[in-house]
Order: sequence, then structure tokens, then C-alpha cells
Amino acid sequence: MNRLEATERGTLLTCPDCWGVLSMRTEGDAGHVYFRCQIGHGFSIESVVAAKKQQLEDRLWSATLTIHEVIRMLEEFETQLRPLVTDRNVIAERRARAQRDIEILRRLTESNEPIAFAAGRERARRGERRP
Amino acid sequence: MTDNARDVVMVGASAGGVQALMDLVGKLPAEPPVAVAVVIHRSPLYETHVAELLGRRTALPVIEPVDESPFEHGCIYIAPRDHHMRLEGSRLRLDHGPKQHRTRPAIDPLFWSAAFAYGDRVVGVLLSGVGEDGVSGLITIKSMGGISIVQDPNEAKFPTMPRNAIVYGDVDYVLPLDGIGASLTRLAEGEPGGVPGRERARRA
Repeated sequence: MNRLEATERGTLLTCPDCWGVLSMRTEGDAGHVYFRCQIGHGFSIESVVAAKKQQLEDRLWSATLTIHEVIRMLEEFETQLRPLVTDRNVIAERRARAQRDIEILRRLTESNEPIAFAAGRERARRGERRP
Repeated sequence: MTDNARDVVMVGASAGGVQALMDLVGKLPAEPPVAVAVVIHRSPLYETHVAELLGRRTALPVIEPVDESPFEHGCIYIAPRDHHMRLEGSRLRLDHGPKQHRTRPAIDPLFWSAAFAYGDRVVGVLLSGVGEDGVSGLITIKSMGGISIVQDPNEAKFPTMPRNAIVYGDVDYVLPLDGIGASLTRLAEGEPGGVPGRERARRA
């Protein structure tokens, strides 16, 4: 496992690959940024953002799955739940809300698009250094 | 070997890299002999026979090494799928360690290890691709006295990786594939790697 070098500083970011802690350093005259976790996973700014976008998508699907499971449990155990539930509408309302939440998550997943880094590419095309 | 001979050639490529490498391997110097190690981003799951494809374009042996294979002049070594390849002394090491930029094999581990193992004998070459793998590696090669070359972004099928190297690294030469071959020959002879008609790279 890696130790923090003198040139590195910790960040508040978690490693997309193992959930460890990302430290960062800059290298070279143009200040190239490099992230690394204790295990040794390495990233640039672009690859860590891409990995975080993937992490977000994975977690949105996990949230969606969890809501499906809640609905399934309410349906499968309706008989057992009957003595506990005074108002049958409660379960129906909960199920309807769950369907709406799933739709919200689906729209979030659809809009979770990659970042184009267009500005950076434009600077690179002109041969400029980062400020 | 002359004093300043750069005979350890490290090549990294990503998207568009197979074609670029197929062009480049035929242009590598046979004399003086150089030792070449290549990382191309490749599928971890499917065998793509890159070594075979490259082998058809050169008389030099193109080898996918095993762990601890010797690193020898006159040979081209290409990292097998799903393993990082590094230089350790005169041997190639393979490992299944943490991915870099979610990629394995990655270019940075090869370049870092070469810089520390061979210092000013190293030439780092970055070809067509996307992302920043290899940029940190080139910076390290330069810091240990090596030379850095990137494929001209105007020629590269995917120009982003060479461009990122130009922005963040201290690139010595920006050249088309033809020029890279000629430059490597001069560098192996201990001459500067400039190619007639092309200026040495400058950062804006």
C-alpha cells in the first residue's frame, strides 16, 4: 500500500476503482495533475471524471433496483402485511410513488452524459499550455 | 555504443494505434540495434493477435513476453492483454496490478519503469489515442534525461493523446510516422533526433 509522498496532497475524493482515498500531485512545468489511491489506481482529471460518471450511473441503477425490491416485497407479502396495515391505500400509494421515483432515476440516468472537455481540447489544438 | 546513444525505445498507443504501429515497426532502425517495448491499449477479454499483425510488417522479432523475459536489442516486445509491462533491470516484468486510467496494459507504468531503469538512454514515443495515459510517463522520461517524441496530431487518427502530451509534457519532437523512424535511427546513433524540414517542438 502506498504512502503519501512529500509532493502529494490528499483530496476528499474516493477512488472510482476501489473506494480508497485519492491523493493528487502535479508534475512537469505545465502542472499535469495526477491522482493515485493507496492501492495504486492512477487517474488523470479526464479519466477520474469519466470514472465518476460511470460510478454515478452504477449507483443510479442500484437505487433503481432497490426501489423495485421495495415494490416486490410490498406485493409478495401483501397477505402477511394485512394485519399490520390499517389502510389498504397506504401500500397502493407507496407503490405509485415508487414507480414515479423509478421514472425520475431513469431520466437522471439518461441525462448523465460524458463531459466533452471541449475547452481543453481547443486549448490543446492551439498548442497552449494550461494557465 | 556512442556516448549519447538512445537505444531503449518505449512506444505507447491507444485508439488508432494498431494501424500507426503497423506503419512504424517497418521504419524502426535495424542498425544500430534498439530494444523496443510497446504498450497498446487492448481488450482484456479478447485475443486480438496484435503481435502477429505487427510481425508481418518487420523482419525484427515481435514478441509477447512472459514475466522476466530478457529485454534485448533487435527485438520488439508488446505487452500482452490484461497485464502491465514494466522494465526492471534487463528484464521485462508483467503484473496484473491496479489499472491506470481504468486500463491494463497502460502506457504510464512502462514509461515510468523505463525512465528509472535506463535514464538518458530512453526515447518515449506516444502515438494516436485518446486520454492522458502516457503523459505522466513522458514527463518522467524527460525528468530522467530521456527524449520524448509524439506523433504529429495532424497525422494521428486520434490526435488527443499526442496533443495532451504536447500541452502537459516537454515534448522534444512532433513528427509524422515517417519522421519518427528516421529520428529514432539518429538518436540510436547518438545524434540529435531532429529531422530535416521539421522544427524541434516548442510549447506555445
